[in-house]
Amino acid sequence: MLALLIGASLLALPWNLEAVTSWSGFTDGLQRLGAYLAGFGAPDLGAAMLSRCLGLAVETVSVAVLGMALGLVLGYPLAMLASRCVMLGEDPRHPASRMLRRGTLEFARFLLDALRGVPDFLWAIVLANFTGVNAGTGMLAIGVSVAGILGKVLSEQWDNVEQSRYAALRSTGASQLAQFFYGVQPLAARSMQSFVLMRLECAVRNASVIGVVGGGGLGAALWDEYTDGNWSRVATVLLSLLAVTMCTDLGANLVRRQLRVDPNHPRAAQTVSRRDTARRRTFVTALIVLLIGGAVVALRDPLQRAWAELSRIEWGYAGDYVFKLLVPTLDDPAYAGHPFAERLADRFGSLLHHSVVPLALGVLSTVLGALVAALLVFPASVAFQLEAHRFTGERLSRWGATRRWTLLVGARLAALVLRGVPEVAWVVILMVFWKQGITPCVIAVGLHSAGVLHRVFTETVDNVPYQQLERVSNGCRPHVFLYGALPRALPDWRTYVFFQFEVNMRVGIALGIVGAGGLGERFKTNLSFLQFGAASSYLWAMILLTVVIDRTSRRLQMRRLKC
Amino acid sequence: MNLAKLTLFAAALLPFAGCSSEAASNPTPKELRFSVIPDFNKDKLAETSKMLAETLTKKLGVPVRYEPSNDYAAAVNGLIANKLDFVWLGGKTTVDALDLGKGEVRVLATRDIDLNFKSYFIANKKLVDDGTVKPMTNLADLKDKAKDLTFTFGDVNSTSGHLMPRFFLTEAGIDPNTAFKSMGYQASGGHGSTLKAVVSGAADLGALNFGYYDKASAEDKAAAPIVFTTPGYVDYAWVGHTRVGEAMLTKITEAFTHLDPKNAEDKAILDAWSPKEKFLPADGAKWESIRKVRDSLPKGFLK
Repeated sequence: MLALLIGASLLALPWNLEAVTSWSGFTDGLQRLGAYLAGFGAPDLGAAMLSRCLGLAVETVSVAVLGMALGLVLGYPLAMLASRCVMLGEDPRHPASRMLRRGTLEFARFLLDALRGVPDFLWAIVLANFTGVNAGTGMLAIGVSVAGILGKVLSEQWDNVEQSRYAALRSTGASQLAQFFYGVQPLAARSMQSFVLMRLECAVRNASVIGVVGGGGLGAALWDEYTDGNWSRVATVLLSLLAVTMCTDLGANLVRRQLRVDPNHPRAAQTVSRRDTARRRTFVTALIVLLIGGAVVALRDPLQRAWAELSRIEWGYAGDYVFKLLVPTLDDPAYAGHPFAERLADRFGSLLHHSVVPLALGVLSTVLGALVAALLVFPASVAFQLEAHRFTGERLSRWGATRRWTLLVGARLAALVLRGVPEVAWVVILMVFWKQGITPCVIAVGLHSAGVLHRVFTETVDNVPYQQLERVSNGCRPHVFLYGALPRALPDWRTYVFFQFEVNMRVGIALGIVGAGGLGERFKTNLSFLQFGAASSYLWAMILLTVVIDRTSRRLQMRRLKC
Repeated sequence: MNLAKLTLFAAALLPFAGCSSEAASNPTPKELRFSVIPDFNKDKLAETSKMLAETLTKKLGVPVRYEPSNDYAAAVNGLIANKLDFVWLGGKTTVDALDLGKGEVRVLATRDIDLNFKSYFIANKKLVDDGTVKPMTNLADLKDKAKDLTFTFGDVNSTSGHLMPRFFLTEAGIDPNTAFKSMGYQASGGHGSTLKAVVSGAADLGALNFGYYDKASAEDKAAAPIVFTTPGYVDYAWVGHTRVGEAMLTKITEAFTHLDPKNAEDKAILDAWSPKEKFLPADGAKWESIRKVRDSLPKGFLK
């Protein structure tokens, strides 16, 4: 089945391979890449450029933090409306009330699909018409798309809490909402926290490139310098971008360690005293308040500008714009003179044709990413590199230990860089060698998801209790890895990979803008050509695609894990 | 309804009536906002546009503010949505604005060169050196080679970077959607990106605004020589909205047409916009030919 999917995807995409199919193409590509990389050897480290990048880095993080906060505020109530246990519950109800609740639930789920089915890149393009080109737009775009993702995942996490665990509460006659707030929510809190943390990291990565479409932050500088061919400045921007995402990544790891409570974990947190918990809570709360406050201060100007833009818009025009965007029509000037049936067939053909690109890109880049990530797991695993003696009983020379340390740090650093460079930035780098087209996009998304998957892959392997590894140990680490760790980790890996596929498909849509083609490019092109009716049909196709994938994954009952 | 009630009703409406007639008579606006289509590097555009804002503030006696636009469509949408009062548009976007403006949009001024504007087709130097692409006087010469070449237009909304090159290719019997090995647009950066793409070899061929190319560095020009020059057509213009009042539109037009190369401040603007000599007053009828080209594009051309 998977092989079939991969094969079909390979055939479906219009590959551009001249960089590897002929010797001259290859040397040309290398030459271009060489000239480009030379720029990296000499990044522009002038004071002006550095202070510009620092300002943009602060803006990037602020956009991510505020976008995330907005996403939570919007997504949480929507998640409640989309959650079975809040809306329907176990209690018998009047059929009419049940139907009404069911209807609300389905509508909320659809709304969430729509919010997240349209990538933040495209949200930014649409929103920029109302709030202008500034970080305020980036914040809104990220907020809206995060709301869609959080709403879906939170509602699933709540619905995954087994009913029996809060049955006691229900038996006291607690209302549906009371059951939710005092039963479901606390039981899901841990996984919610960990998911929100992961999304925050993603938000920082997205914020670092949202500027490409007018959302402020480092992305605008990256894209402008790239299109202008200032390699040394592109290098500076890329390095700042990497610094921001890597700091976020490492910072989130610190927080994540604090959240770890599983006493069976090989390296469980030792402290569980009440005072420590209270202190930790104060610390985290203060950190959140500080971050949001700082972000508001940092974005004062762009937010004011966005507000000013919004307040002087003609609402008749805005309503008209939104209406035109929501109603697909077949009245493009180019359709003039063609009969209705022909127009309809043409549009549907095009919708199907262009849905193939994000789907195939999603499949291939996810497979590529999973393979690369899987290869990097063993060298990066704490269990297998640093603590193997605890289950194999081996003794290591000092030199051997150092070698393993180096291997671990190297593998982790590689993964950190892979995921620290956002997909768009990878495309920018790879496009130099491959030229514009689908190939650099597939590889770019593959590399980035390799980094993302690597972390969760490694974590699941490191979470396997050592007693279980000891059971299959014959002293050979690869053997223990293959027969002890892998079988336990694989089901989790599968879930992550499926989730990554959904993410990558959406990235595929967004990358349309920088040359991947497909739905995203169709939408953007038609919208910018002021063909609203056509743009609208591509918008609906994106949403529909997300709905189909979402319903499939719900049907397959993919277990969503605490990460 | 009796007469007394009717009178009362009418009286109640009066303040609103007064309000709308006041808006229609267009008192001098408190502030004017303008933008330009991002047809090349946004930083440089912002720089020259801010300079223009200062000069116009002095000439018009009203504060003039520059607002950047993310893409071509945003400049048009902004004009219609009351976020901008006048904009520097390309030929195609000028026609779009006239269509969307429902009679409230006017073409104000244009450069002398815009009445006979051209596009260049440029090729990567390597391909010219090894004879794959030769300078030509007829685009049809590309027909046999196209399938081995990658081609890039500029912005999809650009007249000189997309609309007219596509038109001339189609006239020569080459459908750019299918004829080339790959065909693409520059998502941002306008003509500057097109030039860089051909210089770096990311695209074999490209089409761009002749004015931008002529001002480019000698180094870039050598790396991406011209292989074809299109016939002339109508392009860029300053376009305004009547909400600021016809009188103000006339003042804006005159501010442009009266720019004096002997005055240092005016000259800086003329240099940045680089007409051959000056801006000319213009009216929308001249852009009818562009509308015809735009509306003649075949079904599915945007693929």
